[in-house]
Amino acid sequence: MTEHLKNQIIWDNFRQGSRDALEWIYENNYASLFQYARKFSKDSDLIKDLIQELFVELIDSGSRLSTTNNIRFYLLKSLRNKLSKFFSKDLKLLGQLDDFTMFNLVDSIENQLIKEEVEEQIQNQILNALKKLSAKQQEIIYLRFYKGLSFNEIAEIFDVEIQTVRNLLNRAINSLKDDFQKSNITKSLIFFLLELSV
Amino acid sequence: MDRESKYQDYTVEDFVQDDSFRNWVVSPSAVLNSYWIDFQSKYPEKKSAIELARQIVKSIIVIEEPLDEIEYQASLSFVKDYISNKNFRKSLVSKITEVWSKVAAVILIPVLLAGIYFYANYHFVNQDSGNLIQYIVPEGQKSNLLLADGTKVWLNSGTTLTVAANGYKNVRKVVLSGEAYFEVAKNKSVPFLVETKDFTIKVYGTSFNVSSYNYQKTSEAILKEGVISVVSGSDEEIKMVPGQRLLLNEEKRFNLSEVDPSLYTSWKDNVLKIDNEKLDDLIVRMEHWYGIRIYVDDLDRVKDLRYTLTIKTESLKEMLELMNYVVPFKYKIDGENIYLNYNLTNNKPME
Repeated sequence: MTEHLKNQIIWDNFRQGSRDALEWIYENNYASLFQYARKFSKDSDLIKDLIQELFVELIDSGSRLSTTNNIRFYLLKSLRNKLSKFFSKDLKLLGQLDDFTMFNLVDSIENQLIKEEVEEQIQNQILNALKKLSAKQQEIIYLRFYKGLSFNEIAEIFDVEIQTVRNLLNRAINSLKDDFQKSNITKSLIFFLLELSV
Repeated sequence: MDRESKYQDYTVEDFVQDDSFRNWVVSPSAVLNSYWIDFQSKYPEKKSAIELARQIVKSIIVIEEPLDEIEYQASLSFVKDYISNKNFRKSLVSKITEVWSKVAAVILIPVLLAGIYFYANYHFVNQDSGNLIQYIVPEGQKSNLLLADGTKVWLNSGTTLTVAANGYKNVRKVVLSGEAYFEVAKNKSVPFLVETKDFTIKVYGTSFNVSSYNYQKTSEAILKEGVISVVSGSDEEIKMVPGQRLLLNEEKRFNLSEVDPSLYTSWKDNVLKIDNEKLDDLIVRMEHWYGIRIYVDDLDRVKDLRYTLTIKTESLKEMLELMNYVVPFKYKIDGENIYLNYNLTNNKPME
């Protein structure tokens, strides 16, 4: 059975109120949803609430939900809508907009660099290069490389043309390339890169 | 080899975007290593592009924080219970039971009104969205309630208040259509928001009155104590201090004035305070208060009559008698319709 067909069948069962289907969906997607939403907000309690609320809404909608053959994509998209609705309305009022609405990948990467014990100077060079990327570019990198979404799906999430997504990703990679070429990072990086003699 | 001929023309960007290339960089294996070492010795001109692409891929490796297993299990069992309950509740009767179990955290205090126990209608805004509760107070009645966070709310006649049953931990929010008086429980880290059709009020632990009926062109907020700020659709934010009344007029313009808040909030104590109000304004307030319709003969002639009264009783008849004492008129009560006639020179009895 192909992954798409499997997704479609499980989703249909879920729409009919299947508890097993719900459990499968939760098990296979909860971590992904949580990690994605964490890039928008550091407040993990809030995120847990919003994910739970999303599922309550999906359960309530039941057979009125549209069909899908990619549950992960469907859920990421729904959660993103929920987040953006929540942040734009309530948090704008609370004056907390800046802390919350921007997708931020840099923190997660920084944690990885620290874990790898990369030299501080190199760390800073990498982080500075990453900080030049827009929130949208960071989000595209994440959705494309870490959530495996297609350009088509990402374009649907952002409600833009597919070519726009491609261009944004290309420009992001180019920007990193330029920065790394300019600095001496190329040489020094070798220490922390693979223990591979090429 | 097909794959190899493809890679011959690859740029740095292409390598970064290639799934198997990234896979090699992130989790190298002996097989992958030998493949890419081979490739580079065959195509040494690609070496620098590969090196740069590798650095880029390496510099965007994300580390994800682990999930809290206990919290995950709690969330899973919540949604599993929820779907089971949803499948179970089929009839309207079981739906109502569902509502009650959901509002267990919300205590409702019915108000004794005109000798009858006030009967409130509780139901979902949308029976399918389970997490909102709507309180509806019919015309001519009043109610008050205690929200789960300790906030007290008095609801005036003809008011609808929508609250989230489970509530966000980060924002306490209610949606109001009608008139309500709030005594918001202090909680600095969790702000309280009151949303109306015209504006949203941001609360910092405080007592205030909001009137925003859907059928009324104006909306107003009166602050008794504390600090609130009012935010309209145009993102205009106005901070209010106690004793101020903010009126949003028909042109959707804000007008701030100093008032005696007790005039505007006395309804919650079943006291109707009228301070130098014109008859046609008074009629609107009485219609709300008692849930009636008032018809005045030749209203244009008498609409500017001014009244100053404080009514403590709930009886419409006593209210009319008191008004009659100020300026004489004849009246007739016909169910929910009240007819007033100030034209006393005309001695014909009212039909």
